[in-house]
Order: sequence, then C-alpha cells, then structure tokens
Amino acid sequence: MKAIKLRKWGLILLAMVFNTVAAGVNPEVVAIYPKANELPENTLKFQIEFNVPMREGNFLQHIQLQSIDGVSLSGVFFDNAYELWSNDHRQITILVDPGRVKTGLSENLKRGRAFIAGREYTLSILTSWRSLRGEPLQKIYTKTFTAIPEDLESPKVSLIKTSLLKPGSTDLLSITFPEPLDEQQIQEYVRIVSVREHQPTQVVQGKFTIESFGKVLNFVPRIPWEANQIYSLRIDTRLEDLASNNLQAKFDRPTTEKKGELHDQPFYYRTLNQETALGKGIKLNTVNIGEKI
Amino acid sequence: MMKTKVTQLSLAMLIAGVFGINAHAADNAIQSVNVLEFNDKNVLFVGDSKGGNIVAYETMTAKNPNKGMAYNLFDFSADIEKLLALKNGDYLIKDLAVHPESNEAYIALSVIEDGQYQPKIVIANQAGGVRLMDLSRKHTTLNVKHAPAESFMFYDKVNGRSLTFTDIEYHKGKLYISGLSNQDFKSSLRVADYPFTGKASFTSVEIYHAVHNQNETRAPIRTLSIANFNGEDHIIAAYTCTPLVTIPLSALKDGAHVTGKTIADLGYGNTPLDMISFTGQDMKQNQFPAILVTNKERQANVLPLEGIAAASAITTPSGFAPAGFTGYSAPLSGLSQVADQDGYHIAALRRNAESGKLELVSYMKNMFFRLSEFQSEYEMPNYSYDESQKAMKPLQEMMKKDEGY
Repeated sequence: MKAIKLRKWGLILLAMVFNTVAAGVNPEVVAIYPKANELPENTLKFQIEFNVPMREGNFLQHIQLQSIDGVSLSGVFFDNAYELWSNDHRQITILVDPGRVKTGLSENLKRGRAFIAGREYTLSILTSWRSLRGEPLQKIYTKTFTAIPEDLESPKVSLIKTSLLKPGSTDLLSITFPEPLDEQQIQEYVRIVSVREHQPTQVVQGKFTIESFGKVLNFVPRIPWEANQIYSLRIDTRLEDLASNNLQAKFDRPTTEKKGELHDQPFYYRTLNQETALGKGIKLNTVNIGEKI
Repeated sequence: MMKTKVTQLSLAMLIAGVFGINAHAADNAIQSVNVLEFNDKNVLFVGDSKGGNIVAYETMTAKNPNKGMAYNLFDFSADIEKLLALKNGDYLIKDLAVHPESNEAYIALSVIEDGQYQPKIVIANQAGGVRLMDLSRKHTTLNVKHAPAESFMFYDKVNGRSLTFTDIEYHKGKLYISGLSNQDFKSSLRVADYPFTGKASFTSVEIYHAVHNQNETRAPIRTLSIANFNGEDHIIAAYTCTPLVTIPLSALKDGAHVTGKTIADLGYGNTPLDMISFTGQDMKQNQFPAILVTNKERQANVLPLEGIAAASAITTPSGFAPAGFTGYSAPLSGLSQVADQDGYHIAALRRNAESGKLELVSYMKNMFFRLSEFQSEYEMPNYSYDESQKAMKPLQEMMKKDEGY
C-alpha cells in the first residue's frame, strides 16, 4: 500500500518537474525558410519555425529587414491581419507584399521589387517575440541572403534527375530538382508510389530528407525495392519554387501568355528506373506526364 | 477512496500539462474561433481554422432591454479580462458578430491557457453585461479541410499546413467560405449547404480577377458579401491587395476557374477589414441598398449597389490612386472589427489610441462618426442654431442620446 502511494507521489513529483521544465523552455528559432543563401528578387514568402508555440499578433513588430549598409527596410512584408500560423503555432508564414513581387501592380510600379539582385539583406527575428508561455526569444536570430535575378519560370520537370533504384535493397533514392523548391510543400506534395495492375496506386512508405536547401530530396523505403514493381515519383503540380512559380503556372504571368504544360494536371508522374545486374539503368514502362494512374 | 480519485485527477491534470493537452479542450466542440457569422434564423456559424471546421450553433435569444441602443463600452477590455480572469495581452480578438434578434454582441477570442490558444466566445450587451458562450452546447459541424490524399507518417514532423478562414457569408441556405493557406498563395472559395449535408455538399472554386495585366493573381479573398443587382445574386469580394471584384453566384460551380469582374481598386497599401450590406440614405432621405467596406489603412467606402451594377471592369493598370467605382468615403478608421448591428447601427471593436483599451462602440449608419468624439461650435454654451443649421439640431440630439450623453 505504502509502495503504491510512494509510486503515485513519485509520478506526481515527476510530472511537476516535467511541467516546470516544459514551462521554462526558452523559445528559439529552429529554422528560417527558404534556407538558401541566394534568393530570387521576386521571392514571395518566408517561414520561421520555432521550438515552442509562439504568440500571434503584430508579427511585423518582431521582425526587421536590413540591407547590407544597415538601412532598415519597411513596407516589404505584407501586413496581413490574418497571420499565417501552423496549427501548433510553431511556424509562421510571412509574405513579401505580393503587390511588389508581381510586375505591373500599383505597388510594384510605385516602389519596385523589395529586393534588388546583387544586394545583400539580413532578416532578423527580434527578442520581443514571446512564446505563448510569455518567454521572449533569448537572442536575435538572423538570416543573411543575397538577392539574385528574378525567377519568372515554372520549375522544369524535364530537368528533374532521379537516381536508379536497386531492387532487393533499401538503398536511398535521390531526386534532384532543377532549382530549390519550397521545403514545406515538398513534404506534402512529393511521394513515391508503386503501380500495380488492377490496383490503385500505393504510396511507398519510407523516410524523406531534404538537402541542399530544397534542391535535393532523398528517400529511403521502409521495405526493399521490389524487382518486378513499377515505382513512380509523384509530384502535386501545386509544388512551388522560391518565387511561387508552380508546376502548373508562373506566379507572374501576363494574361496573353499561354498556360503551362501541366496547367490542368493535378499530378506529375515520372517512372523510376531500376538498376540492372550490370549496373545500368533499365527503363520500365513510362507513364506520360500528368497521366492519372 | 475519494482521496485516491482526487489524487488520480491531479495526476491526470499534471500529465496533461506536461504533454500540452488541455482539459478544457475535450469539452469544446471547436479548437479555435476565427470568424463569426449569423444567419437570419439566429444560427451562429463559427469558422474554426485550427479544426478545419465550420460549426453551427442554434442560439437562444436572450432578453435584452437595451436592444436597438448603441454600444458605448469604453473599457471593454476590463470586462473581458474580469470575466476570463486574464492578464492584459493574454488574448487575441478574432471577430465580432451581432445576434440578429437580441442585438447582443458576440466576440470571438483566442485566450492563452496552459501555453495554448483556447477558443472563447464572449457575449456582451449594451449595459456592459458579459458572459461566456458554452461552446460544448448542441451544434453541427462541417469539415472543410482538404482531405489528405493518404496518410504518410514517416516525416520527422507533422506537416505544418493550415487553412485560415477569412470570411463566412450566409445567403439563402448556403455558406460562402473564403480561406487562406499558409503554404500556397491562392484564392479559394468554398460553398456549402446549410443545414450541413456532409462532405459532398462542397464546391471549391478558384477565383481570379482581371486587373493590372495579371489575369490570375491567385490573391486570396479577404472579405465578401452577397448582393442582388442586374437581376442576379453576386458575390462582392475584396481581395488582399484591395481590388473589389464581382462574381455572379451562378458562375460558382465545383472545381470551376472563375474570373471575376474587377470594378474597383480601393488603393495600394491597404487591406480591407469587413464588408456589410446595408440600406444607405442620402441627405434628401432617399434610401438605397449599399455595401460598406471598412479598411485597415484607409477610410471606409460606401458603394451604392446601383453604382456597382453599372461599373465597368478595370482591365488595365490603375496606377497609384484608387480606381474604378469606389463610391464615397466614410470617416470610419482605426477599427479592428465591425459587424452589422441593427437597422441603424454598426458595431465596432477598436483600441483607444491613448490608453490602448479595447472599446465596443456603435456608429450610426449613414453618419459613420460619433458626435461625442468631436468638439464643435455646436457645443459652445452660447451657440444658437440659425435657420441654415436648424435641421442639424434634432440629428445631433439623437446622436448624443445614442452615444449616452
């Protein structure tokens, strides 16, 4: 009886300690996306990831953008009354004023783009930002990047490179995109699927890791690749590059221009080739672009 | 035995604290409150962005002896903080709606409890009475999340996609729901039947507007209203970069890509706050149906429907100034939330510029200012109304009475 009581009190004590520790976790910035150091001058969004839930409201007061000469730049980010937080309040999406990003809009005509190719900028996350538990960031977090010329093209799917699959192994599949893509969207929009006759497409379970600032995606399957199996890379065509051009269309497009080749396709499919005993790639039945499987 | 139960309960509560589970959340039908909208039958629709749901509550009509009177609550933050036992700054104001029958104000809040934002709806009346709405009461729910294609649990972390509802409009048995994603910059409008009939009742529409040589801006709808003109019901939508766009409801078909007619640009560097349909009245007592658009950075716009119906589409860059049919401006600014209160008033939440206190006040429709907030010669002790100003006196007396003076 005593032992049970002691155990209970021990648990309560443990819970209290955990509670205190959880309450006392200092907020930190875990990552600032895009992670690339070179960003097109028409970059549309940044995402800031924290280790704990953070407070909503007046986000513009907690960030600062400076050019290399230390001049603070205002009017760059979109003052959105609807702050774009993830449901766990650990990540906020900050939009560069779309009116400045897109050519021909009044803000763009008046003030031009926020970033100018060749110049360096520093985005700072200030210590005034507090967690939901009231703790402020302990230090200023910064991201320095150089603006590069505008990106007005959709990512070209024909330039996506994939490594060969090695049947019987769980060897890594490496996918290289022609340019860094939105890391948050990659997580949701890219899958490896297996195609079986008379069966619906199956998503292959495994683990993805993103490298090279969203340019390389590696995948390790949970169970070995099968020799007599067709595998495909499947990409939701809403996947965007850093300037929000997606596989369907450019972000900045005059009305006169024709729609992109994947405009009406929800998915892009690419059949993955397997390695033969001789180490050469064997091309399996190819699935056409955008074909529904 | 009782002691053991109490201990177990404490243990559960402590563990819940450790893992961030909130005991209150289990009782609530909703995870967040972002948008409030009443229909004409006293049903309150709550946009729960976190849960991806629209939750409908049939509300009761409370007795409100002050129905029809203005709100003049200048320390409303104290009322809220006392009711919820809050410290200053531990809550966010998300929306305001007014009960169509009782005229009570419903205020959506996100309140910090145990390190999490918790949804609350506070109900207030003109006399300063405040109470909490029971969110666990009988309700129906419509899930409007994009169903994930398949479960995939092998990422290192949960995907951070979220959808924020920006506005809900009820019209003739249907809900029109605009939203904003944190991952894709796109415009989407969902249409659902009420009473909810299940998932199949949605339509999801991509809306573009033809302006500034950019046909497809993908800009999200910020606020919307529905009005009948040219013999047809239309959505009037204000976008984040302030074009005002009209779309006939008949064009909204599931999966459709619809291009709206851009009739105005309310000006750069501004975001629209809310839109209300009301009956306007000019100095000659002529009445006309109109739309009021309140803005975050600019004055409000009053747009008579007649002008909206006759407006030409803007298809070329408008330069820097407001363009198209912008109606006339009303001196409403500095408001954080507005709602249609009754035939004579709009209700608004605003922060006092000096004290920072939250105020719940009403403005008379067609006046759009509060007389008591201005010092004028009319108030001087020796002022006498001459013939040309005589018509002003009863109006001013009415406004003063309305504002509690």
